[in-house]
Amino acid sequence: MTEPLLRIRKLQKRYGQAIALDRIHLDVHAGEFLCFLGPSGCGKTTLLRAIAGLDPQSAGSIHQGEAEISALPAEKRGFGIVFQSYALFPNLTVLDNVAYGLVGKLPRAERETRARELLATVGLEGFERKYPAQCSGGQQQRVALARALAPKPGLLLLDEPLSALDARVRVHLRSQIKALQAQLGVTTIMVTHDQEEALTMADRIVVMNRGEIEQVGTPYEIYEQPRTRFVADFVGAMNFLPARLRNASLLEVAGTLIELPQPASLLPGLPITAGIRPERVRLAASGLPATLLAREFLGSQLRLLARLADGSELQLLLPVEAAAGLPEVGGALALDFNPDYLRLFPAEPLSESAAA
Amino acid sequence: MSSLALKLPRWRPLWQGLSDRGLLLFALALAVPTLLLPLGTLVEHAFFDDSGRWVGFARFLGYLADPALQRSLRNSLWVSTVSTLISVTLAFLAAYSVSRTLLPGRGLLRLVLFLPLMAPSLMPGLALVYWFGEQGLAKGLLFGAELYGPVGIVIGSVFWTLPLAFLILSTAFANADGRLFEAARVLGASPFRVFRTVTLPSVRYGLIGSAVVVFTQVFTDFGVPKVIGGQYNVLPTDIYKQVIGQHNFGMGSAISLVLILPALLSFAVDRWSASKQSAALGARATRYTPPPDRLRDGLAGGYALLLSAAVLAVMGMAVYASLVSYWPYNLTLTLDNYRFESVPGTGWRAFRNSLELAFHTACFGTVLVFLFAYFTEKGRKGVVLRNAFRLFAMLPLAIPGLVLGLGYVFYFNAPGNPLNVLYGGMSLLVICTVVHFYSVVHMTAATAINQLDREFEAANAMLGAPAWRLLRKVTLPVCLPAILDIWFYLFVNGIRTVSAVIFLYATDTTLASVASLNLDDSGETAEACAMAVLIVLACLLVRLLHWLVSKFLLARLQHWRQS
Repeated sequence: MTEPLLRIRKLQKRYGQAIALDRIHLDVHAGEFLCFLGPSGCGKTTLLRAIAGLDPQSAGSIHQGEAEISALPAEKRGFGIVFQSYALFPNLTVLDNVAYGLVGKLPRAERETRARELLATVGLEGFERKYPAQCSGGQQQRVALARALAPKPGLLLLDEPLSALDARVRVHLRSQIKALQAQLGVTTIMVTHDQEEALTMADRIVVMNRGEIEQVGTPYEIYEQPRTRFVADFVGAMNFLPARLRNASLLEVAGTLIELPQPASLLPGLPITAGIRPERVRLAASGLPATLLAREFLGSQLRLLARLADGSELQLLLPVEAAAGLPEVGGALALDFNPDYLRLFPAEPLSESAAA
Repeated sequence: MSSLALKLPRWRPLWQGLSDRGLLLFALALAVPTLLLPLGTLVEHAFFDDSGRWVGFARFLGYLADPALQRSLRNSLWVSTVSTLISVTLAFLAAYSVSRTLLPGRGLLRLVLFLPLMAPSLMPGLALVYWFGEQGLAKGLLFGAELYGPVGIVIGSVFWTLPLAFLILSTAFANADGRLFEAARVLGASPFRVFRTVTLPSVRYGLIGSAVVVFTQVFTDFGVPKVIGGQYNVLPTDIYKQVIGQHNFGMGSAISLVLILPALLSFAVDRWSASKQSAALGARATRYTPPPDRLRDGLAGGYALLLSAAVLAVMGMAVYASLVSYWPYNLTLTLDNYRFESVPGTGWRAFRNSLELAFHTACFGTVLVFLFAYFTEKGRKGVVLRNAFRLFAMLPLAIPGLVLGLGYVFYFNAPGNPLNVLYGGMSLLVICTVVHFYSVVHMTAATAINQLDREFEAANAMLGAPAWRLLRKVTLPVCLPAILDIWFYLFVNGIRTVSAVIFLYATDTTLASVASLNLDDSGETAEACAMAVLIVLACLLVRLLHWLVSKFLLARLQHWRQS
């Protein structure tokens, strides 16, 4: 990897006694699309605002290339931002909103040309003379994007930019923003609590929880190799089953022994948690014995709820065709999965896993 | 980017942090000599004698023991209670007619009911003299009752508090949820039951609020009882007599503190009901449009006519009286009363002074209020300072004008005070008036500012723009309607006010409202009317200007709102 665009080290943010961000180490690479993902209150927006310079950190440093920008005020950082509320100026036309950040930097005619170009880029030709209130939510979102992009920011920050929109517009804009980012090559950090958004848009995802980073990785890594139980639970659905290691490569789940492809790093003998994605569980002729508790038809898929011999429950996502061979609710099933897809986590106290 | 970062000016963030806190500190520092110290001095005067010896509650006990002063307290409570009952009832019916019936010409009733807000509070008193006084046109209507005294005070007080009560109640009516009425109708409730179970509860806080406001206003008003109270003493006239007549400052302060009590109570009730009311109306509430009902609409129409006629009769009489040569013997119309010959040279100067006071109060006050409200609401730093200033900003609401004015006399007239130079000058009158009316306009400004997106400042900074550009391009234009309202409110109240400035003017800073009072005192009732009419005319003119500006200038600047 080349020298990162942004280097964040030991960042901490305190509000009085409360710690909102702690031990944040992160590199942001030029041109990438990074997502901060996590539940509300996890500190993702706080981190974004610290990077923006809007709410400076309490401790730690941020470097941009060689220069330390830790104490640089927001207006000197040359970053662009799209707020959750868009914060479009209601009394200015769409064109004036987009050109706002160019005042004093470009002569008027060039400002207008640049603003028109950007409006064209986000697909809003003909909206120049309208006011924000005359635009739909999705259009306002794109105006805000154009406004943030107009001064050619060194870094584009998006704070839950899609959360105020309805579902259909959101999905459409997702791909639009992603395409635009790739086209312009602008380094982008987006904050979201929507895992699907993060998985579809990001080059890398930073999963955050309680003010700390849980895991950084590509969407694939985050989904398939979650490092913590929190990540596994927050991104996608995961069945958590109580288990125990007989030895480094032999796992016991609900009375059944499973040979692991690689030796596990957890201590044998202690209770642990085994995680398996619902879509990785299959129906088989023989395997983990289970009872069918419920079935739901989801249209494209079938969801089953089953109970294992030790009383733990798990979900399955199956192709609709699997419905044909299913027993009645209450009937017996045999479940099977590829042990490659098993994730092992240390067992957590109940209360903590509930909080996660 | 990195080259830019290397040139970073280190002083900038420090300076920005200071500017937030610095301005708040400045605002708080301003409040010390203009609000806290005058009030403190007042309290000091009530508890210490003239040589600075602690007398404790001796003055209050002496006050309670004095039968004449006791009578004043009883009188004050009596006229305030009766006026409140009548004023709120009349206003309730008017607000009901305007918002719950299909009364034709609703806008007209609204307009007429706001007229008294343009007049000094003593004007209804003057007009009543011409209607019901010794030589009154309709003296018979009082059936032998004496106008000078409680009857006159109550009528006059009702007249000038009616718009306040109407304003509060019509807001309460407008905020009621239309869906509740539909639900009640569908459930088969009778109109009376709907009134009892839906209408009344929905305006509950409006009723409480208007009652407290009216009570406080009447209890602390000085204009009406001064003009029409006769021998019937109330607390505000007592203070005036103690201070101006007998130079008994200690007793004046003691009575002042009693005068603050209902205002403090009203303040508490107002805060309490404001906190309740916000929750009363959900985002999904709908507007209520009443179904037509000929009987109800007819009754409302009759009532509206009667009420408008009464208001216009009072206002009209004052105008007429100001134009009559020599009441009641020579009713030919003349402008002679507007020469103010009984007080040569001071009449028109007083009016000019008043215009100057109102204009400066409005301009100076609007800038300060907006600036301070902006920094208390928008600043991110200095939470303690901001809350402290919010508290200070609300304090004048609980201080009757007369009390504030007296505090100013004690504080600014003290020989050792370097600020003494201000005493008697126009600048002190302006300061006192701004402080007196600060709370309401601060709330207006804060409300307007809080309607702005919380991220505007952040968005501005992220776009690399200086803070003043946001102010000039966005904040001020968006808040312009509120700013105009604030300016107008300060102007009108600045020109009408009597109570806060009555102790503060000097011969060359006599004000129209005070002059009107003094003219009446010396028996020149017609000239007093003329002076009051001038005030009303100035208010109407400014109101017209305000309307024109809102209508045409704003329509051009604010077309982004209509979409």
